[in-house]
Amino acid sequence: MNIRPFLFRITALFLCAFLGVMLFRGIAAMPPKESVTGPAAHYLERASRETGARNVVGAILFDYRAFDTLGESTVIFTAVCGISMLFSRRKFHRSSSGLSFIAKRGIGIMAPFLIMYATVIILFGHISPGGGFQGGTIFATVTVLLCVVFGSSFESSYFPPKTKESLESGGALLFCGIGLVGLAAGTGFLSNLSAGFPAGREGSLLSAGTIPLLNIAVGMKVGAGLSAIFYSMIKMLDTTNDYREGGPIR
Amino acid sequence: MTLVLAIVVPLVAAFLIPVFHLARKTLPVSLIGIMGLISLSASMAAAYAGWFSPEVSLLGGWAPEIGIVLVADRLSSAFLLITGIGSGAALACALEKFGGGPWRFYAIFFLLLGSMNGILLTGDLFNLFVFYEIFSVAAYLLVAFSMSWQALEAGLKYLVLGTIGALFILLGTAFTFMATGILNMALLSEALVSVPRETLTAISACLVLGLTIKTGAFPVHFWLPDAHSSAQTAVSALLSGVLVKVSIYALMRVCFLFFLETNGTVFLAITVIGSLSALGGHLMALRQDDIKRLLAYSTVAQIGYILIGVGCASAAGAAAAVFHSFNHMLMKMGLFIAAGNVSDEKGTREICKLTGLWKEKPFWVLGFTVLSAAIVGIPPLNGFMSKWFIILSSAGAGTVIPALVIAAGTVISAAYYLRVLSAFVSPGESDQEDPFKSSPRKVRSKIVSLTIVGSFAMFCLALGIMAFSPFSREYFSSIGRTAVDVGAYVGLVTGR
Repeated sequence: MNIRPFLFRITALFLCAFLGVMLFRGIAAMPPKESVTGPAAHYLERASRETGARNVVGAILFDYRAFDTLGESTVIFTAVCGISMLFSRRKFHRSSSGLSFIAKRGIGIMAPFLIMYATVIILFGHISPGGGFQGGTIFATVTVLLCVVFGSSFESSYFPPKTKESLESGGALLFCGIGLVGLAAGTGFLSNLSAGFPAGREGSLLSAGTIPLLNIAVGMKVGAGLSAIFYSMIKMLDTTNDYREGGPIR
Repeated sequence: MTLVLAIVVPLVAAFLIPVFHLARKTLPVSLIGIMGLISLSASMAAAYAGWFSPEVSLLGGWAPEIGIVLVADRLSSAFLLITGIGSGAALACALEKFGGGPWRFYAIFFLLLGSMNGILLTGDLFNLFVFYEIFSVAAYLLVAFSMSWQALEAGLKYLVLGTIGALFILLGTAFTFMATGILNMALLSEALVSVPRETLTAISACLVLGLTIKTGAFPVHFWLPDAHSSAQTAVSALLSGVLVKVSIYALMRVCFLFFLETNGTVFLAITVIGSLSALGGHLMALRQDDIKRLLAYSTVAQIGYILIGVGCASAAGAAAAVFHSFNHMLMKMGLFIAAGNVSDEKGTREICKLTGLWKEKPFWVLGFTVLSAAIVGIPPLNGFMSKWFIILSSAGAGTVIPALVIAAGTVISAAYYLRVLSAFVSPGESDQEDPFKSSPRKVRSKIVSLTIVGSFAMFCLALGIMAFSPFSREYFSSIGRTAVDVGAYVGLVTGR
């Protein structure tokens, strides 16, 4: 009887249990907090005054910690680069013919509204819940739906991969460009109101300085990026028949 | 002002490459070379600024508590220099081998460069995690770039283990934030003193475990030999020489800032991991037949040495660790480039088939010999000096066993490097004429790679001799003093 896998599982179980207990003790030992302290309190109190944005989460993401957002969207950029590198070797591309007529008509009617929804989420990111990441994801969903319902060649004729690439790079460069304006003004990379961007009237569409612009940049980056990832992968699935197993994919 | 450019310039270069590609199918080599030069000069400018006057830059103009800060002191400058030299050499090798064709490779390379500078410069725990994400994704992709099944498998393995490591780092960051409510590393080093002991144990275990997985130390090293051996030559050199050092920087920075005064057990754990890593890596390297796997396991062992230096928790230990990191970057990059080129031309990576090279390629063999002598630790070379300093500081910290491990490891490493060298100088098959032997693949001569190997070998000799002079020793020990001087770091960031 082979006992090794069994022992292995028991050891893994004990390790996991030990880790869980240790982490739980770590949480249990923390003194309970009555009120918000530290930077969080600062954000809640002063975010709208200091950044002009009514959406505090947006203010943290795109102003106080905008550099993190640049990093996070660069992670997506890197992933897109890699996935299109790994899946780019296909020479012949066959697309599926899509779903039924009813599904096609239904999506045809819905798609413009979805695009409008995505745009609103991006443009009103500094006023209401939402922002570049969320809106960009919705935009990518539209292209995913088109891919599934109409077939990937239809989608790529409407949104060619090259357009996506340039949108993605354009969004990234826009983000860095806005950051460099702050650096040129002498107030630090990605600085907002202190670099002289107008605060506007709080709650109006044109307010909060760079935050709407950064939302648009991130929306471009995320929307084009996620849709490019999906397109690369479904292209792979569509052509799965002539994929040779084993050897190098090239 | 210059600090942020060290991160943004490579990122902008990476974002521009797809745009250039839309205009032209094949990018000119000179364009990528120029972008590389500009990026590297930006990081060198940051290193220069940080070395001579420690610098803080507040991003967005926000105070350290509420925004993100970039900090450059002597420790980060030293590592910026390591990554600068290493990535420059790797980029030159890659340009020589691939030309301007694989534009996505260069885009990922520049993303990697920017994220490495980000890790080295950031003063914010969550920002560190974000840059770690870019860094890791880019590294997985560079490993898988050659698209052979070995490379894809190695990339996947690296992805799985790297993600586990990232998960632990994120968990540690989350615990820290829950316990203190701040993310700035300088402020955290003050706030962690008042955190309950159990919580501190959880935080330190998560952060150290996560960062150890990323460095590839012995018990969690599985990804490293596969990744480093199946990647392309330039990428292997970059992985072993530079990427591992960035993780070591993160480990040093986090441990010295957070746990030097609060949790001394962390350093004991690092010493134990280091000793295990040194012994295990050397013993595994002894068993390898594949030259690149041998070098990869040797990297595991050398990481062990560096970790022993870090584990001393003293200025001398930190200085020795940084010195050994620098030396290892030179030695291992040179060795990987030489071994990669030689085995590419022979068409095999098996050591016993790499014969007769002394006659065919004397310069490559000469460079390999000097570099392996340095890494084994033959006295006037730099490898000896840095190992000596690590042994001294380890003994000074009252732990003798790690020092003995280093001495034993030297003997083992001499055994396996001598095996490689004896294969290189033994008479090759070409001496007996074999009419059925297929002619070796024609490969373009690699002048740039050879120059890099040669200059790294010279650099090793020069550093070894320089380490005798008190003047240059003073330079290195100042890095160690900066690393353990938590008060100065906090004062620098908060402006107190």
